Amino acid sequence: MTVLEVKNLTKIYKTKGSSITVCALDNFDMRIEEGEFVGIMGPSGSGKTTLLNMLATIDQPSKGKILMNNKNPYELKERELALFRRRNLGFIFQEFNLLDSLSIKENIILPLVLERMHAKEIEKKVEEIAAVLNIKDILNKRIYEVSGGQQQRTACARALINHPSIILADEPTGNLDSKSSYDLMDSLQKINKTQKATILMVTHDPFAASFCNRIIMIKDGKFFLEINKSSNRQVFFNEILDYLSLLGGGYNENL
Amino acid sequence: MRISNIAIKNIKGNLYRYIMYYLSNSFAVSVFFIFASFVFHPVIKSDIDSGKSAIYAGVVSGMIACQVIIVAFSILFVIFSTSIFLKSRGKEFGLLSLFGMTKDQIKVYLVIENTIMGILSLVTGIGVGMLFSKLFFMIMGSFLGIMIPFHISFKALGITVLVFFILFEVIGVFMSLGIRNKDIVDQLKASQMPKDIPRFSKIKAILGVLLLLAGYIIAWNVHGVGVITAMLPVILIVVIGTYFVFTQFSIAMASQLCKNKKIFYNQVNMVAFSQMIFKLQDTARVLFLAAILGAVTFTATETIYSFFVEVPKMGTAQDIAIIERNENLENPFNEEEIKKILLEHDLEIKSWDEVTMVQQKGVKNQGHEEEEETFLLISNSHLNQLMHSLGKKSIQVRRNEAIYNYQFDTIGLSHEEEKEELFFIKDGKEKKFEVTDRIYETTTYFQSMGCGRLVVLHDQDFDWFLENASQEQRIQYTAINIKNWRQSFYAVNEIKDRLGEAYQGFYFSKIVPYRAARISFGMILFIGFFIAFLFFIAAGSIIYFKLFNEVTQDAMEYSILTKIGTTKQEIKKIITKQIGILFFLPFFVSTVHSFFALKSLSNLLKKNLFKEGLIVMVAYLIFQVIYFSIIKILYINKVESIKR
Repeated sequence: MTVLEVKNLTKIYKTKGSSITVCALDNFDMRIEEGEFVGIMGPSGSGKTTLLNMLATIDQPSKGKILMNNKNPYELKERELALFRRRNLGFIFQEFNLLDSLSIKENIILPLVLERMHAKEIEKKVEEIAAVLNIKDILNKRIYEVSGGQQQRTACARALINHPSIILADEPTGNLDSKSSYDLMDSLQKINKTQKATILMVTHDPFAASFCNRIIMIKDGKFFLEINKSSNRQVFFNEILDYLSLLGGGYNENL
Repeated sequence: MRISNIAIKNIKGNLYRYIMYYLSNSFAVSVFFIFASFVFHPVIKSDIDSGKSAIYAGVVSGMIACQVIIVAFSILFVIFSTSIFLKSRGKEFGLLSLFGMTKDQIKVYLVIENTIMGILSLVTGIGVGMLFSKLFFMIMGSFLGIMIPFHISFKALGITVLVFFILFEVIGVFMSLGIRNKDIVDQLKASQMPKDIPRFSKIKAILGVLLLLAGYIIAWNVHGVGVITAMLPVILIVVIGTYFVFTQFSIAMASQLCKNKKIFYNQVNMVAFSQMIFKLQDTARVLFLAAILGAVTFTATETIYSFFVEVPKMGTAQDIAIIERNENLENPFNEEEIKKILLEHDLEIKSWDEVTMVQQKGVKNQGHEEEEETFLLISNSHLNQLMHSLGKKSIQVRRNEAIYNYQFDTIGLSHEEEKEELFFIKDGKEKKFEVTDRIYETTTYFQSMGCGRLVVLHDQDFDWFLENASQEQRIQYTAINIKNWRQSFYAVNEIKDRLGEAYQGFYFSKIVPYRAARISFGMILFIGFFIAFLFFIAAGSIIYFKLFNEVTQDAMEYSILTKIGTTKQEIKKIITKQIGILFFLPFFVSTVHSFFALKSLSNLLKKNLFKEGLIVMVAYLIFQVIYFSIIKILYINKVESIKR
């Protein structure tokens, strides 16, 4: 089943009062099936974040179509759109985006609370997801009492808890050290395999990308190439590195 | 670019933070300027200098007192606001230092900024003050019954500019000295420092509530002089109680609320409440100050308003009263004429009582000393007739006994309950009466003539005195009550003219002193209103200040919520709940405080003042709701503009 379909997606940024226009995304096509773990890579300014923002329905496309579960979210009204986000999308951000005033557990259950789910059911779900992500022991701690990796796994749990159609991750390892990055990516892979969660991840980091099943590379807002994981992760990692040098755009500095 | 350019740019960029501070200061300047213009107005000044009017002198000194209050309050307000503001700008100062700005330059930068704000407030305040001074003069003129033309006094202008400029500058310089030498790293991190989970002490939370309760119970139950004795301790108890309620109890309550999963796990409540705890902790002191400021403002307004309504009515008896004695008894006034005048003015007569009294010298014996005095005697049935017409309970006097009818309410005075005997020697006969009771009711206007009490005797006893009384001893008292006495002003004046010179000092009405008292209390209310309003907006302004200090942080949190699918309406709900609590919690506490204060005042005056209190509170509530709505809209707009 196709979870996400992107057709001719174009985004043009116009500066108010001047005639300068920037085409951040140019006739981009993409299709993601259920249970896939897709990585999107590209140099700075290639349009990755623009793409993700539009998938997250927080930015309007200039042209083209996005279909999620065969529905076009941009036809929805503002309120319905928010509800659509809440029910269909899960987010993981580079900056974690957790609320300081809530505890770890409260951050995780926030989407369920907004949906007025029963307290008992909420408790059950949070136990489940915390076990998968290995954050059971810190559920009652505050945000600033735990490490960055734990914070990001909390964000993961929040994204997963209401079983969204697709999880959008924006540079999830960007603020993490290598050990935490490994743990996080391992968790994501586990979720992808065991819970059949569909994940779309934007990343700079070839190491993180090597956990995906498929990598789409974009350059200057256009589709550049696509690689599929054929054997183990180590091989895939080297493959990604090769293609990245092809992509250019100062990617070497990241190696 | 110079430092002054940065300062100007910074003010422009942070306008939303400064706006309420600036408006409060402008308002203070306006009121100060208007009052100064009045004080220095040539019309008023020439009248005072020539000794023409003592009332003007009273009004002027009242206004000067108000100006002192305004300045004193402004000093506190500016110091407090500036210190809140400086604390929130650690990061900015850190960045400036990082770019190589010296400490002295930062101080100069702050002083420049402060000067700009001060000058802006001064210009706006004086501008608005000039615009509205004409209106103010008109209203004051109508109170005082004179014409006060529009006039710009350069003295008033000079004093306003001087006082406030010095105030803003001195505080600005003083506050900029207070910037501490922190490490740049710490300053940069200042806004990112995680907040600790709010803690509260159970004991202090309970203590706060107990202190409040104790204060309230005392305030409710004290009577008479006790009110004055209890005032200071009760205020102290309540202030301490309030402090604990805001710093401890409020957090305890909110934490308790967060533990209830049914409430807490209900949509936006989770975010709203948990953020609320942090906000409560951060703003507890500000809320406490706002609550106390509010309580003072409300209580003062309610008190003046109650006086405005109640005091003019106090100590008055009949709507119209005429006393005839000596030569006036020989040629009495024409009753028909008076009835005709009242009829012409559409004033229906409710009661018309004519009673006779006797002035009699006698001796008062309080057991240990004897004192000679002139007493005013009245018969039991006549007094009851007066009391009945006034809607008061009648009394019974037995033979050879007497009851004192004091012509005033006892305000806090303890009743003298000593045994007392009266002796009257008349035509060689001695009459003795025992004083058995004392009642405190205004039944006649004799108080205005220097006679504070009537001696009520049994009808037969009184008749004996009346029979033997000479012409000079007799007093004829005509008491008239009418419907709609409030409309009787013109009729009363016409009757006065008709009665003529002979009745000067022997003719009384309810409406004339009522109107005079009403005008003077109306004037106090009017002048006091400016101060009350200044306090009111300042209290809101400090909350606003605190609120907007964190708007960037809040906007970030709201943007996280938006991303995970919280609708705009839900976010507005959260904001409304939070600002609502911050605005109405102190308001609620102030209201309750002021009601208990009013209860004490009611006990002291022996009047029920709650109706008046309620009117004042409703008026303040309307203001508060408007204020709240404006700030809510400003805040939501700001949050949305940051998000984009």
